[in-house]
Amino acid sequence: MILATATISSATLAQDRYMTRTGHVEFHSSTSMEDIHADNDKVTSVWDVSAGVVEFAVLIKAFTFEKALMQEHFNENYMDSNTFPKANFKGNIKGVSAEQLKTAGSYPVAVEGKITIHGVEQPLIAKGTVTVDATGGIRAESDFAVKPSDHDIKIPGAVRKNIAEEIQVKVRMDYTKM
Amino acid sequence: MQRRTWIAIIIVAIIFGGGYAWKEYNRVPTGAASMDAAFSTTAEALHADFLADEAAATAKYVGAKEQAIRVEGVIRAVEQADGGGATVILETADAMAGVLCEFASDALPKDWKSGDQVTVQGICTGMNDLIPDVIMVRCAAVE
Repeated sequence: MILATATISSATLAQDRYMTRTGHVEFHSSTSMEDIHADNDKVTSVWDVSAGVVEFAVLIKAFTFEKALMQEHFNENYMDSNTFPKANFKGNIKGVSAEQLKTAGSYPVAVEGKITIHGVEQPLIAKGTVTVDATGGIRAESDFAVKPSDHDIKIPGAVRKNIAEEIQVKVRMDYTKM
Repeated sequence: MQRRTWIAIIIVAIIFGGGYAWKEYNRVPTGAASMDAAFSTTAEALHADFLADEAAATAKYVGAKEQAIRVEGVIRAVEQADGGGATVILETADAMAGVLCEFASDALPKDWKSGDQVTVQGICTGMNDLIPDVIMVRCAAVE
């Protein structure tokens, strides 16, 4: 009986867990001097809808830039990606239930948790949208801003005007059931 | 040296220096195909190395400076991306995790499919958390 209950609970939990290993994160810095944009299409995320817990894992060197020099400066001068090769987020998504994810629609959600970049953890609160399409595909999207100074990322004075004080970040995850 | 000669030298230096700076500023990231591979291995061995000692494997395969590595393996899946590129997942001993190889749309051979034995050259960016995939970007097929 206990075994059967445990098996059913485990199966129920597994049904409410979603993942992606090809999630998309992009960031954009815009100043009068220069626009800087980078994309990462290899972001891992696991979302436990029943518990409302979501996690993201990002490899810093997987960001690609249009220009090689920007990519080199990003990794070597600003992100110290040999010392801090990963960024991550762990928090909660509120505003959508496992039951709602069975029905096509668009659901506004609130995301709250801790984001770690450059080895420095900071609280993060963001709004987002979870969209369920007619085929049952689940997409979660969110935009938020990150300040390099909040994560102890030092911008040399010579290029301070080239990099925005707030970097705009966009996240897009297409989840599948685990 | 005459003043006119000095001016000519300075103008030439400005032209060449400016040209170099402009070229360097607009340089695009190099594709892995045009780089010499620092290491050749199999997808299973690469993944096993990361699982055994992630820090050591990162130092070796990712490196302090960008480098290409060559990986041979069997395709578990080919997933098309929204932006037009594709991800080739190579088999490892772990049924859940693999070696993920990111291809631009024009770099992936059209006939690659699950079960094929292939060789990929790419830039290894490390092993991810949550699902321990090893990630390679800017990949090219090795014939």
